[in-house]
Parts: sequence; structure tokens; C-alpha cells
Amino acid sequence: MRKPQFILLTLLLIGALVLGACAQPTPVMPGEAAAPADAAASDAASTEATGEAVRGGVWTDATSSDASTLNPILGADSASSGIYGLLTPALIGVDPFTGAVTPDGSISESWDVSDDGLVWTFHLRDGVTWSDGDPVDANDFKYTYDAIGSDLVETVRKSNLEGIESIEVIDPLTVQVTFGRVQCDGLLNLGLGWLPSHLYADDFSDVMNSPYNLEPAVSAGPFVFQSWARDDNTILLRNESYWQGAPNMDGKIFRIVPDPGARLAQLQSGEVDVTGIQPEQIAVVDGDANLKRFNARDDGYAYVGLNLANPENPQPGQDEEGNLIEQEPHPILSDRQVRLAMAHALDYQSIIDNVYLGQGYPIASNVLPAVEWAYDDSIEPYAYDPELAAQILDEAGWVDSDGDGIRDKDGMPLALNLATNAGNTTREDLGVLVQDQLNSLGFDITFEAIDFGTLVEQLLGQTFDMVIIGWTGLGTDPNDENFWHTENDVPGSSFNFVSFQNERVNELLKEGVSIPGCAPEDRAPYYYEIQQIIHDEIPYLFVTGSIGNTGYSADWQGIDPGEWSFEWNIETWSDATLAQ
Amino acid sequence: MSVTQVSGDRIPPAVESAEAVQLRRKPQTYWSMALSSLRHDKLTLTAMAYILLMVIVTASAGPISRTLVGVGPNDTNPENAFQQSYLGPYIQWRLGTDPMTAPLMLGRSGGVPHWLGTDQLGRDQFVRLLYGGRVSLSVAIVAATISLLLGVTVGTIAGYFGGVVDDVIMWFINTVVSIPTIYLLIIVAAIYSPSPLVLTLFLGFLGWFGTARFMRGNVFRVKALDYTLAARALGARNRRIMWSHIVPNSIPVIVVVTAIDVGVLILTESVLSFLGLGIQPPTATWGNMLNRARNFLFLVDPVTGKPQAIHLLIWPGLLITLTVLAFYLIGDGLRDALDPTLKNKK
Repeated sequence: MRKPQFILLTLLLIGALVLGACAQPTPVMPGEAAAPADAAASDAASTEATGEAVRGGVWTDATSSDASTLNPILGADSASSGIYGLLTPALIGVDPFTGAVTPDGSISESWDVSDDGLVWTFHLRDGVTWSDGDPVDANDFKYTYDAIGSDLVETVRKSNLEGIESIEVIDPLTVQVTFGRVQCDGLLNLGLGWLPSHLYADDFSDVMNSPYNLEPAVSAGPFVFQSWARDDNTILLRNESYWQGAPNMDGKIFRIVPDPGARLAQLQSGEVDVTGIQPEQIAVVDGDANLKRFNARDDGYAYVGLNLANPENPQPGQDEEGNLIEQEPHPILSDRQVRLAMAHALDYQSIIDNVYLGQGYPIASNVLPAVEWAYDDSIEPYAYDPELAAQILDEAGWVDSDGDGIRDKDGMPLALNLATNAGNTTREDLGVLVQDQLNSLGFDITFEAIDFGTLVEQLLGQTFDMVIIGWTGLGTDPNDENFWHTENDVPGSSFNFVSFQNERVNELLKEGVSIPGCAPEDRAPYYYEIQQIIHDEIPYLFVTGSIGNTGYSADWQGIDPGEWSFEWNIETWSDATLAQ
Repeated sequence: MSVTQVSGDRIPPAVESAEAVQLRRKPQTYWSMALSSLRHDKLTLTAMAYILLMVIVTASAGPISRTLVGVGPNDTNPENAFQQSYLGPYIQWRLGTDPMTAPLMLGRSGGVPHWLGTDQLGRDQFVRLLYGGRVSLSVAIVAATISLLLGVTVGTIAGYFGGVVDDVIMWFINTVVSIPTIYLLIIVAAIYSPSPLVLTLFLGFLGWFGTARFMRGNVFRVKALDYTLAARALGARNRRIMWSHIVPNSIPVIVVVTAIDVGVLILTESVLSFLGLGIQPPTATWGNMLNRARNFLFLVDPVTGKPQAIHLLIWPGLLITLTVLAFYLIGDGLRDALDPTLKNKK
């Protein structure tokens, strides 16, 4: 009885949210009459392709969770960075389409690097100011990174300082960063948003608890902060003095709507203008003439991790001197033929079509095609071929000798545990399919969906056989030594939990990030070789690359979403309904 | 009858005829009265028949799914995901009103008749409902039995001995009961991996407080009745009084409470599954089937624009609703039938 009531309740809740949303928060524009004759603003208007950008309108973004802080060096979640990213300047930008590091959109006009690849000199743009008129300069950058290093500041961003030896302000518009070693992905570490140093204490004593962490007083981005109602909404207003030109829209609202169904309903009703949508909601968005859908490959993938070492006896991958420690092999999964048979036994396309509802793409190895320069498109994913898989197992000696339907070898049945985290329905479905497809080949897979905390414990403790999990937020650099280097095979804490051990890959990973100059064409061969080895060794069964979908209002002009940023040119967008 | 014996050897005609009138109506025991009352209660009988059918059908899930469908509960066929119910088209096909639909659906499923359609992985919903029902029902019934045994024992002891024993037991029950059960279960489910066995034990061991309270109240009542006093006067031991007099005379209360309990437990199991804290996939239960289907509420066919997965919501939802309702109705009907004080009040 309670079940349908739940559905009814859900519908009622959606209704209530829609109705409740009638009391919509609207931004109050102080000084609405402020002359838009600002040099930068008129500049932006002229770049507008349609040429008829009308000021006004509010862009509302429905998000699933609320921000935790608006301080760019304390935030660690995407809900927070989505907001402060629109308020803070940064030293480097990321190309919205290719993911490459670029000065575009950042405070740097250009940069150069010394021949040994250690000293980076950034030349900043002149005339950029905070919204209170104070200049944005190299001191803000240095202050921000010094704050991260300060003992008074607790932040997960401390790792961004790795490899940095010094930061020197040459003059207000020139800053020099010296690295202790060449670290090609280190440049990305310099991309955090800056704190306005003139508002924070020089000794960093108030960085952790300044009121500006919750209500930033100044901005150097396209918007300025107006208000933040916890777990409800955050309102930003147009920054008239934004250096790339003030936005056309009056403001942007972030509204917290935890339920995906409610987000979709609000998107359809026009209450919100943009939101992420679930695979099963795609057809609804596509069928709505008022909405558009942006479909992009995310920087993540899903896989089945195969423990290569004995789960009964987890060992670290190397000792303190860096010598490899020989792992006690996994009784079954250390046999490459078994892993190869598994790789051929899964029907990846069918999994993508049915479990991911088409929102995925087959991948062959550990570098995603989104990182174009490092991606080796000549490696083909393993083809679905159950007969070949059966043949491989037969040849490797795994045959059903006792007639119980399960293959065995030397008295050991081909029995393995497969786990994933409970509550992730996609992974649960994937687990059922993997179990069924492998069992039909003569495996005896026990599949269990377990609590996430327990799963992580097993995973990091390296006590699992097979696990369905995924990586997200891999970013724009192909360096993933966290997953493959033996120094990251430490039971209990590190991410090479499959105990992948390959000296050549160890070398390649270290050399690939330390090439002076870091030119993509120089680094690419290293990553090509890594991909080939990982593809051949099969420590993971690579299932699918992730695809994300964003539904947004068709009423707005100028939106040009890129895979790495949806709103990189938000200041040029305009509400076409206002033009009529 | 003793009356006639007291009045002497010679039986007066008037008395004789009165006795003849009495004999025309069979002497009724408590239970036969209850049965005859039940016999007229069609609603309760229907509910009982439904539950009986469910128990039989789910208990024989294996043979039924082999003969009627031919696949197991976790056999996937991704090519045939979200197939609509085959039952309607099959009937239409048999009646000749739509000769094509049913054979077409069979072709896509590889010859397997999915009577109630398939889910997102092409698993047969009918088979999964059978196996899921087996888990849902047995968890609820076994857990209700555990709480019945515990509740009756503790309630009887508390009520019978009273005094300090009663105070301590009631203090314990009141303390635990003041923690909302659902939170207690959520905590427990988060700590222990909720397998069917674990869940059954926890539901049973956390569910007896209500029964115990009911029992205690009833024991207080029965304890004060004359026949208990008589038993005591005859020198019966405590144990004999409890088990021969008090417990049997509390059966009506227990039966009603337990029937309703089973319904509540099915709901609790569903709610936990709905929150993702119940029995985990791939084991099917009605609750986790419904929970999974909830995600597909918005899934529409890109070509026709029709919802694709409504059948995955309707069937588990319907079965949970009907089953819980049936247990409530049985509880209600039994109370009417078993409580003599409610006689002729209709």
C-alpha cells in the first residue's frame, strides 16, 4: 500500500516544488541604470554573433547539491566550484573544446618556460580589477598559493603545491613559478581561483573563517555575489566591470533540487534553464521543442577491476627504495588467459545500449579520447566473442572436468566474487549482466552489491576479486600514475589496488610527465606505449567511457557548450525572448 | 446436562421440550462460532484465499517459472529489454483480434513468453515477481513468527508476574520503542550487509515490542478472571496457569496482532529496499524491484513517445498493495470472528 503512495507522494512533492517555486527568488539589480558604456562591455556586445544581444533575463541552473564554501582554496566539490568559478580569476584556463591548457579566459596574457622546463613566467593582463576597483595582480596569486601552504589553512588543495619550489612576484603583472622537477601536469595545479588579497589578513589567520568565504564581497569574474540561502538557492548578479565584458543576463541563480525527476519537471516548465539529465530522461528532453540537449563525453570511465594479487595476502608493490616486491599471485585472475577470456566474454555494446541507455562508448585502454593528443585510436577494444573466450579457457586448461557446469583447473573451480556499491543502479545492472555473461561461459561468479564504505575498504585493502567501479574527473592530463605505478600499490590507502606491476609502465609514467617543455607531441609516444601495455595486460575490463547530458532552454542565444566547459562564454549569452 | 440431573430422575416434559429446542441448534464451541462467523465474511475469506494462493505460487516459483516461462530470475537478455507484457497480446492473438502482435514479441524474446514483460536487462518480470515474492513473504512471515514467540513470552511473563519484573521489562520496551523502528533498522542495515537471513532476524528481533505490550495487557485482564483464580486455588503452578489458561485465552489477540504484523513487515521490507537499505540486487524482492523501476518513470520510447517501463512499476506495486491489504483484512476479519464481545454488533 505504501509503495504506490510513495509514487503519489513523489508526484505531489514534484507538484509542491513546482508550485513552491512560484515564489521565485529574483535578483535585485542595484544601480540598474549604471551606464553600460563600459569599454569592456561594449566590446563584448560587438563579439555577439547575432548582434542583437538584449540585456536582461536570468539564467537559472538546477543543481543536485548545495555548495559548501565560496572560498576557492577550501572548496573540493563541484557544487562549490561551479559558483566560485564565476567569481574568481585564475592563472591558467582550459580550452572548453580540447581541454588543453590555454591563457584564454585566464588572467595570464601569455607565459614562457625556461629551457630546462623548471621556471615558468606568467605575464598578466593589465587593467583587470576586482569589482571594488582594486587591481587583480600577481600578489593575489602569490597570496592564494602561500595561503594554501600556510599551517593555519587546512585544505585538500595542499597537493597543488607539489613540486613547486618558489613563487616570485617580479612586478604586479609578472609572476614566476619555479618547479623542483619537470612535472608536466603540474601546470594544472596552478589553475585554482585567487583570493582577493586586500580583503584577507596578511598572516592568513582569517582564511579558514572569513565572512567572505560565505559571502564573497568582490569578484573578478562575470558575476558578483548577491545572496546564498542554504540548501535553497544562490544568486549572482552581473559584474558590470568584468574584464571580458559584462554579461547580458541580469544574473544567474543556482537552485538546489535534489531529485532528478523534479529537476526535469522544472526544466520542462521553464522554472529552470539548465540542468544535468539522466539517461532515461533523454527522450523527454528531445521531445520538447523548448529544450536543447548537450551531449558530451565526460572525463571518466567505468570498468571491472581485476585483482592480480592474492586477496588473502595483500602486499605493497614496492619497498622504500623503489624495488618491486614480488606479489603472491591471485589464484585465478593472475592467469592472463582468464582475463583475456573475460575481456572477450562481455558484450560491451549491449551493456552500453541497455545499462547505460546508449550514454557511453567503448574504450580500449586507460586514456580517454577526450585527451586527443595522448589518445591512441589504433587500439581496438576487445571484441565480444563468447566462442573465442570459451576456446581461450579450454586451451588454458580451464575445463569442466567434473560436469557441474563450472570450469576448473587442478581441482580449483573458476569461482570469483564480484562486488559493486549498493545504490548505484547502473553498476548493479552491470554486475547482473557481467555475472550472467561470464556464468554462461562456465564461470561461477558471485555478485553482491555492498555498502559503499565496505566496498572502499575491500578495494583499498585489496581483498576483493573483481569489482565494478569507475573513475571520474580525470582531467585533461593523461598522467594516471595513481592507478598503475607500483608506488601507489599500498594496501589500505592507494589507488593501484589491482596490484598492477609492470616495470616498463613505471618508467613510462615517470618519463611521460618530466619531458622538458612538456610538448604534447613529445609526451604522446609514452602514453601510446602505456595504453598498449595496459590493453594487453588487462588489469581492468574497460567497460565504457562516460557521457554526460545537459538539458537547457532553447530560448537563449550564444550558448556554445564545450566538453570541458558548458558556460565558458556565458557573458555573451542573451535571452532571445526579450528581443521580440 | 447437569441441570436435568439436579432436578431428579424424572424429567419434566417442559424441560424435555426445552432441551429438544436447544439440541436442534448444535452446541457451539468458541472455535466453531468463530468459524461460522468467518464463513459469512466473504472479504476475509477472499483475502485468505489470496494469501494462500500467493504462498503456494511463490513457494513453487522454480517449477512454475520453468514450465510457464523457461528462464530463471537472473537470466538476462539485453536485446529484449523493456518488453511490454505478453499476456494482453497473447489473449488478443488467441481471440484472433490482433493476430500479429504476440508472435512478434515472442520472436524478439528468443521464444520465451514474458507474460508480464521484461525489465531493463531483459529479465522476466513474472519470474522475478515469483522469486521476489518468495523472499518478501518468507522474510515477513518468519520475522512475524519470531516476534510472535518473543512477544508472547515476554508479554506473558511481564503481565503475569507484575511488580518489579513487569517494571523492568516495560522500562526496556518503552525505551526501545521510543526509538523509531525505521531509524533503528536503517542503522542496522547500514552496519550489516542486509542478506535475507540477516534482515529477517533483525525485523523479528526488533518487532516484538508491540506484541509484548498487547499480550501484557491481555494477561492482566485474564489473570483477574475467575478461572485463573480457580486454577490457582487448585494449586496449579505458575507455568501451568500461564500455558494452559492465560496463553490459550489470549490467542485471539495474538492472531490478530500477528496477521497485521506480517503486513507491516512486508511494508517495512519494501521501504528499506526503497531506501536502498534492504535486500540487495541481484536478489529480487518486490521492494527492490519497485525501487529500481522508479528510475524509469520518465523513460519513453523515442519513436512512439509512449512510456516504456510502467509495467515494471505497476506489478510489484500492485502485489505489495494487495498483499499488505490482504493481511490487514485478515487481521480485521479475525478480530471480528474471534472476539465474542463483538458478536451481533453488525
